[in-house]
Amino acid sequence: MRRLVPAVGLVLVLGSLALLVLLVVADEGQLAPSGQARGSKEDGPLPVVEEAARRLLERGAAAPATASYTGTQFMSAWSSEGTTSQVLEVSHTPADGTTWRGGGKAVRTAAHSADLSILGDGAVALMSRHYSLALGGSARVAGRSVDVVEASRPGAAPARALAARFWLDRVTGLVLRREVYDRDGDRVRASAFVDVIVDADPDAGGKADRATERAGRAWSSTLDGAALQRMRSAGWDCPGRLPGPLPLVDARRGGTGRQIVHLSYADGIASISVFQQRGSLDREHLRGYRRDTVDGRDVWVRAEIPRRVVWSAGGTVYTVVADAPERTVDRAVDALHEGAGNGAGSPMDRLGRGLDRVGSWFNPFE
Amino acid sequence: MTAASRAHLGDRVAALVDDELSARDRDRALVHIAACADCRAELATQRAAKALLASLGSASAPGPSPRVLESLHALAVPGGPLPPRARTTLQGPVVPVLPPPGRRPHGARADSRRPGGRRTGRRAGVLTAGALSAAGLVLATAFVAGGTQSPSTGPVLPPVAELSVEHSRTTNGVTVGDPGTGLMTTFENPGPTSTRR
Repeated sequence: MRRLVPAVGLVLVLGSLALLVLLVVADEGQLAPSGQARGSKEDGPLPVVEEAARRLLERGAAAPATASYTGTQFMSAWSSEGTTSQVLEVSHTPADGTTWRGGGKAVRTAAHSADLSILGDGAVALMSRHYSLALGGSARVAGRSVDVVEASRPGAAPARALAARFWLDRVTGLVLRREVYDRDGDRVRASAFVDVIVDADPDAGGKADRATERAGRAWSSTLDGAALQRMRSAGWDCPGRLPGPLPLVDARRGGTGRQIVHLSYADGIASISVFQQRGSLDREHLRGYRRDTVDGRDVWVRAEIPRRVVWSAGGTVYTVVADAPERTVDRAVDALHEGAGNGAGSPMDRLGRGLDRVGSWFNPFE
Repeated sequence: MTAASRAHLGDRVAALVDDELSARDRDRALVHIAACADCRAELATQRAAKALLASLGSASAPGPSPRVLESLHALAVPGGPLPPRARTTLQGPVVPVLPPPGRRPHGARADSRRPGGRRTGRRAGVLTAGALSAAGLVLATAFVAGGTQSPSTGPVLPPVAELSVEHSRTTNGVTVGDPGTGLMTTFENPGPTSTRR
């Protein structure tokens, strides 16, 4: 009996250590690297950017801050769910932002942009990193002369390479027409002015603050890279990139008690917002969504523009709001499913979080 | 009767009672007792005392065995001081103290083949193994517990309208072109539709 005691102790020690090692090894196999790309590797040929095309796009992105215009605009979208089109009256000033009216009442007011916390160098820089940019000739839109710029996927077959085409006003730089294509070459978005009156205002700089106030600001609690890493350590699922590829460009917290995390992914043409909040999805009170299956899991989809997909996994409710081709959204949802519940950071992060949690079990004051 | 024969028997009465006299002395003692009333009385007294002692001896417990007597003798053998007990102090770890060579430690078995210090060492080993086991189990439990996210806060209905507005406030800065795209709502013409460029 006395000889059994040290033998049992040795077995317990070795068994515990072996269990810990197995858990770490098994878990490392499942963990997606924090902050790294989620989904399949998509590194391909580097984009070729014509400097003249890039400058035109830069001018077009900055034009709403200096030009006022009114006009009539049509918008159309295509997806597997069907098509939709609208004709809207548009008015824009640098001071007041953009207002769209349909049927005599305002349907939306938008400011121009928010300051980004992760990649803040602008939409054109994003586009230049992911798409080849080239001049596409000249044309006329709503009676005005425009320059055409084409953005294409580097390395893709010619029939499927075109990602977007922009018609930019030669005088003011404004984007007067825009079309977006998916990876199959299908047009999925289109908008264009039917008529437009442009009033370039060179003294309009600095007035955009009022427009931002009018349209409302994005959540003010931004998360930089260090804060995002702490979020990952705390168990939030914050991939650095989604399939597309769509890099993470902005991160914030907001909502009631700042309990919702907002991650923005964009490539200059498409954008996807991923919202996360703790809890399980209240399916009983979800209205206007249809049930779908992604990677064997249930999701609820609202096939609108923007597209919305909601689901819960690993104690987190995910809400995806996307202005992107349908297949891009589906791939992003797939990738987020892969990482659901695994946003645990490194094994040491997980161990520290577990020790905190075990300690809380014995703390009568928690 | 002679003078000698008239002298009392004295110590020979006890020898007669114990049957320790020779046949000749025994005959002489018996001749004297027949003639001497004092010695006859002394003989009767001593025989009664012997009979009493014999009856007491038959009723008492048996005496100590030779092994017990040997052990009692061994205890009486003088030796060195008892080995000091191992003590736990704040200044240092537990140090088992071995007894002087040739001395049996206090409480050890006579036939034990283990030195006394190994018992303390084994106890420390068991304690160390137990502590390591507990630490390993705690770490494994913590690792498992840390793999899941915080406990659910219950059913959640995402504020999709608010989230869509928040999406539009950031997306304007990350895409080039038309911020009004998000105005469109439900698709009006159900069914797969696509338009080639």
